[in-house]
Amino acid sequence: MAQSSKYVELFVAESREHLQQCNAQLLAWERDLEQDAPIAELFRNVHTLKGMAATLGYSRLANLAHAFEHVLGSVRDGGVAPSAELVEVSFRVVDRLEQGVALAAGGNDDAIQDRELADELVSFSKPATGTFPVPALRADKTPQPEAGGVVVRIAIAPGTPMAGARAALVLRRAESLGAVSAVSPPVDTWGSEAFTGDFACRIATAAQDDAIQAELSQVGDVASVTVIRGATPAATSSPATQVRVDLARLDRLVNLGGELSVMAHRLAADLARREDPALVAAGHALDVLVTDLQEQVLRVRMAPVGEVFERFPRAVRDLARHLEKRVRLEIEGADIEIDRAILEELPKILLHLLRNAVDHGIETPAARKKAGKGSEGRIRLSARRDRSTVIITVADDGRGIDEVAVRAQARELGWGADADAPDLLRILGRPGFSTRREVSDVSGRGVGFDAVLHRVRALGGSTELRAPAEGGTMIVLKLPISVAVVPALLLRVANDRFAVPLGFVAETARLAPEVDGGKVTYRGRELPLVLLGRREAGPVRPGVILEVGGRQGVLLVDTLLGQEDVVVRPVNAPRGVPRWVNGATILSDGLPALVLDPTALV
Amino acid sequence: MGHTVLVCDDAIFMRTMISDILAQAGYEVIGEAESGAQAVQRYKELKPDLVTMDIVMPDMSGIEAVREICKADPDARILMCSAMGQQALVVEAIQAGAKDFVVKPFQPSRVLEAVQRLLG
Repeated sequence: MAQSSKYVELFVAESREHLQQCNAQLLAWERDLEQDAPIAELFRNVHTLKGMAATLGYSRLANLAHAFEHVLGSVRDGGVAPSAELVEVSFRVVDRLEQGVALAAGGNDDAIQDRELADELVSFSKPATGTFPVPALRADKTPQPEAGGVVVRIAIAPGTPMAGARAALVLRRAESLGAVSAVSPPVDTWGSEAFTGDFACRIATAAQDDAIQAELSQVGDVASVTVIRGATPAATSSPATQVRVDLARLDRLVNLGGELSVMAHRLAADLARREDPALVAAGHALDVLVTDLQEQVLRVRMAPVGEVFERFPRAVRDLARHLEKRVRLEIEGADIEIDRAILEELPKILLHLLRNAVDHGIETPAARKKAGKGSEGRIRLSARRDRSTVIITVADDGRGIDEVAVRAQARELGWGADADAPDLLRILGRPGFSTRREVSDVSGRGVGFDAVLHRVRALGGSTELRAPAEGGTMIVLKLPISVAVVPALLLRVANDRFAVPLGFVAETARLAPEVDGGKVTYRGRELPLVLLGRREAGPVRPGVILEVGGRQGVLLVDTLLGQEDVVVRPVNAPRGVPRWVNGATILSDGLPALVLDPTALV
Repeated sequence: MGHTVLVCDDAIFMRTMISDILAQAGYEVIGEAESGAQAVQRYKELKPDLVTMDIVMPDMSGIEAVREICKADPDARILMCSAMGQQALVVEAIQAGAKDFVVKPFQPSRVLEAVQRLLG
């Protein structure tokens, strides 16, 4: 909204009055903590101030006023006991609000120090959101239509402010059609912010479907009105309907889906060679259907990354405060879905990267100012889907990595070859590396960066370090959307075929035969040789450079066969399998191959 | 056009802003009130086509005022003006008889949309 000076003047004048009254009420409250009157008045004054500030877009001022109002509301409602400490903090808050009004009116809302005081206030009460749980609209609780009446299901458009109040307006309209009963979920839960606005109720009306829909849709922001008649079975496919399924059963379903998909693919390929066009078409149709089925089955195991991301803003804030820094975490792509098994591993990995960003990347407010940046650092945590992978990026606008210092320390540690490797992760990801001599109590201890790289690899993913042109540091994680299907490199050694998860493959090359005491010289570096069974040194052969947690090894092979998404299944052999075998898979030609576990090889 | 409106809010700032939004759209603001009690009294005097009602006000809350006004005139068209986080109060106001609501900070278009819905 345009900030005409008329409004700003009114705002300043009225705010001063309200804050003066606040001071008077605080003094009265301090004299007698058990009085109710000053609290009610304080609440009202602060509430009004908040409303004005929010309307003019003074978000920090509004934020502080909101925190204050919330605590006062809790005191009024008996949720928080009044105390001398709270009164003391309240005085400081009123002072800060007074300064804030002047700053905001001068166009400097950004300069208001709202956070710490707001945090102090929060420490007196419970957080403002999630007051009480709302029972979801469940199919089994949906009222059944009776003679002479209908059941309606109403959905409020997603994103509508105060969906519960919007739903209450619809309910009022429904009452104009006839007596309303069996409202689900009950109206007394609609005040919660968690209520989505979707509800069902019975209306005793003789009106036709379209008349009911027209009447109820007159309230704005109604997404849908579904009328259910007695003859129609209750629609059970409501979005809120959920079932709980044992994860082990799901896994079996995923495995079967995977094999079915491979078989269908093979069958389609076989049929494509037939003369009969009907068979060819049927084969393709089957292949498409099964691929679709496989995708749907995999989706059952998936959950949005937001489930994990949502814990981080608080963690980052706490950490930043601890280090006396100011950091804002921005989250993008919270709705991107990934396999639950991977999702469960994400917190450890991301927390480590975020800690690094706050501790090592983002500078102190003073240092940032010196560098001509805003005093508040930014970290962006984003997820996006790229074909069969999910790409998660952690980017900060901090000082970036000092490449010279990193390489210097690597040399000091005697890591000659790695010190000059183009990829800095060679150094940063090696166990024992730290540029911080004094170990901070935030990061630098516990899991190292090598552990992060290792975890990502173990999930079949890869890690990349980037130094964006605009400064700061960016870590890019590439993860498969599902653990059940892994992109793999296929290769042949003697008469056997193997699959190596691509996440462990650094590169492939044709290698000279200077096999010397189990070592191969490659690009001036001596790498340990990995042999499957007994192999003699021979002529130039293809080799796969495997990389596991910063360590590398060369696997000499006879033929590289290509790349394929494989479904990894455990192998149950009575005498066991070599420890470097991770499982088995059926390739698209219908024949089996062993899946290698590079972590056991390198 | 030419519908009449009574604007109730304890902040002059808010009253001015709402009045400006409505006046620019051609509505006639015929009165203001800065407390719940005053809102009830002025409604009876002025019989406006529409009332905008703040919730948190001194001397009788906006919800009480809605109840009182609807007791006297069940067809009163009252638009609640609420801050974020007051959903429970807005639901209460609607049960008391309020016909629609808008959420602060206001977007003029949302306010006018609601007003048109009520007066249309």
